[in-house]
Amino acid sequence: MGKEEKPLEYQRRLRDTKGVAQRLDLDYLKRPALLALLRKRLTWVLVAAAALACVPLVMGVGGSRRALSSGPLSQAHELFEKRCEACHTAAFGGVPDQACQQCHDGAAHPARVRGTRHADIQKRCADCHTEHRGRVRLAAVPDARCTECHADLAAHAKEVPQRSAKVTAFRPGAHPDMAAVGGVDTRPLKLNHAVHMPVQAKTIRGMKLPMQCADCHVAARESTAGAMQPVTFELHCKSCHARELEFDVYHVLGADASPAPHAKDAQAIREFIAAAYRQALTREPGLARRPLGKELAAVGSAGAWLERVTHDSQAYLFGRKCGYCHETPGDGTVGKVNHVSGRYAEGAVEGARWLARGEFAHRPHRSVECESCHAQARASTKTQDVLIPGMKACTECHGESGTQLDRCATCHLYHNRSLEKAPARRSRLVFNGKGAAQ
Amino acid sequence: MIVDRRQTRWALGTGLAAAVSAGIYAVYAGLSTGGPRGGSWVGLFFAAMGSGVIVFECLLSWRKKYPASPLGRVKTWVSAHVWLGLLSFLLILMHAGFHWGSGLSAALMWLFAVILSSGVFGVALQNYIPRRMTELVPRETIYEQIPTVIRGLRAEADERVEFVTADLGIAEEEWEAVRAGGVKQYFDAGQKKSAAEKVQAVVERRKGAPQIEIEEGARQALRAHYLQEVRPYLTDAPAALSRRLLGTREQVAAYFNHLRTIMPVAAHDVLRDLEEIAEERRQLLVQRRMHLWLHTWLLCHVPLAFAFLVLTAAHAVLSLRY
Repeated sequence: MGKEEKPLEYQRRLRDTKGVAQRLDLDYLKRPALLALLRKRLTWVLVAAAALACVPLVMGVGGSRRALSSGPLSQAHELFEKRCEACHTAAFGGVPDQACQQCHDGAAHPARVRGTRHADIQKRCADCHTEHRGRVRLAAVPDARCTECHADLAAHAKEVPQRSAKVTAFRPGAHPDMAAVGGVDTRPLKLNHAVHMPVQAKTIRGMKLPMQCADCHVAARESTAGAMQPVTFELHCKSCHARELEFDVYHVLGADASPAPHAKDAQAIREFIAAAYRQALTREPGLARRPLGKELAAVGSAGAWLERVTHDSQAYLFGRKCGYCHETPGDGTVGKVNHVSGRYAEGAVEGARWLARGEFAHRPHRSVECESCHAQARASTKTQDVLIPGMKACTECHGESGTQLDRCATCHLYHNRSLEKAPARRSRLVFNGKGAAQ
Repeated sequence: MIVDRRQTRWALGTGLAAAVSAGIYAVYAGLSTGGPRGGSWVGLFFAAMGSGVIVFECLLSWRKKYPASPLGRVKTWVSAHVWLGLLSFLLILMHAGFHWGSGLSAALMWLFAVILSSGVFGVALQNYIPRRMTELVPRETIYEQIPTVIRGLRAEADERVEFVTADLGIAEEEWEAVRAGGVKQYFDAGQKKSAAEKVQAVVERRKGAPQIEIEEGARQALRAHYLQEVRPYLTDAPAALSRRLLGTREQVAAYFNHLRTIMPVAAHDVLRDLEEIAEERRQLLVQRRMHLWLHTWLLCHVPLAFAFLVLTAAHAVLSLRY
């Protein structure tokens, strides 16, 4: 600083509008804002990535089409998880019935064969059986599918039984009791549950009583539903009732004589008895010279003896022994007896199911004591007693539980299985090993 | 978009549309025995409505690109964008039967949820940050000008300090100092040659010798404090030490109060100017942070929205195909 020069005057900083404006770089509008530029570029990158991601979906590369699935398939259809075309055979039209009918017959509902007003209604399979809902049972359609008709069946069908006219839920008053309850078992037998299952324990003919349900009613191993094996004389009765086939009224054949066969053909039994005595007479001709029973004199000739013992033995067997279990006039004829697996039905060799519309399965109920449902079994004295439990036994667990147990489809099937065609008549899928079905 | 009473009509309209949609959905859900399905006629109706709104939402970018377009005010478009965006999510949920779906459907739902959330977050920020910025950043400038302003502040601070210390020996790159001392003296040096010469003379005198006489120890102390602590703060990326020293309004005031305590009175005017400059720089840091909060959510919202649009189109076509 020179001596003659005064120092520069220091002026305080003054921040006014003009000064602030002057310091701005007015070219900034020509330059893109960094964030906007970044946003724009990121947008293009993501749009391109999204478009690229769509390519395999459209082309169906690998299992990429699974990504289009609105949900996992039901367990029964899991096989087709990667084979959309197996069911989606037509574009833009949903799943046609033909695709389902490749495997399922889908027999008509019983109502259709009764000529109801709705007989002509053609619903598509997929209308009721909605797929891509996870591991559900497709047959378990919502109750509303059933009650849209069954809530007022008279309005939808002809000749509707009064008891079935209004079904809205599985609870008393909203669902009829089982049709079998209150019915009569017309099988010509004299089965007496009470004798076989007495309250007081005792022993008859070496057999300790009471018997257990499972002594006669055994679930068939081959049945996934746990259907009961038919109760047969050979398997379930003979061990105690073999002497009911003994016909040798005069005890001339000895203790080791074979009993009569448990056959339906009375003539065959007669011939068996006659043959047994003929053989005995052949082996020991002296039999004819012995008095029969408590008689004092012998019959006389061998022929007369043979005729007498045969006749009396047949009369004894048919008149007294068969009638122990069967309702019979005593001449060897017995009424038709189905295997004890269901009710008596004309024309049905094996009988008919007691629950004609219900799909009851014993297997899921195996943890339940038999008498919890068949409570009246122990007191039943007549064959005509129908021991099918009433609805009350079911509703303890199934009625108004608010669970899947209450749904119509738990017990009922829409499609009439008795009308299903044989599987061989339906076409079958062929997998070509490349992930596609033909 | 500021959510205030002016949005009442939009809110009521959206609420009414949502109520009508919910009513239709309730009837549909009650009557459909198989439960609501996206592929049913009503489900497709909701899908069409929702998709239409989504397309409209994406058109906002186009509308902003042409501000002079006669298709309504941008402000109206933004209101429609926000309120109809909320409605569209409800419509799409109804389309899906309030299921999240799987695969592409689930991906779309997640994308939509993220887009919607980011949009709601953005609206919340737009309602909070500008008001807060007015409070915290009175010396706000244009965001893109912040580097330029910082450079100006730095040059200005250098000039102020040189009144006490003479030449600091710092060469600014490609920076023409047009100010002789502070923002008060403004003129175009390029057009007024004589004025430029005057400025040059003043600068030379200032750099040549201290113009404010204080004792040498205080001068050296000011120089050291400025070069080590204040000047590093006047950069685009302030040093960590300076940030810690001058991080808040109170810290700036305390720092310069301390300097005023140890400096002679003759230097106090310079210190007060330096304090103003440091405070302005601090406010610009706050402005940058708030600006990023205010705009960064768009980096998520907009790109995802357009990707979502592409995937939605694919979903629509392929779902109808199957």
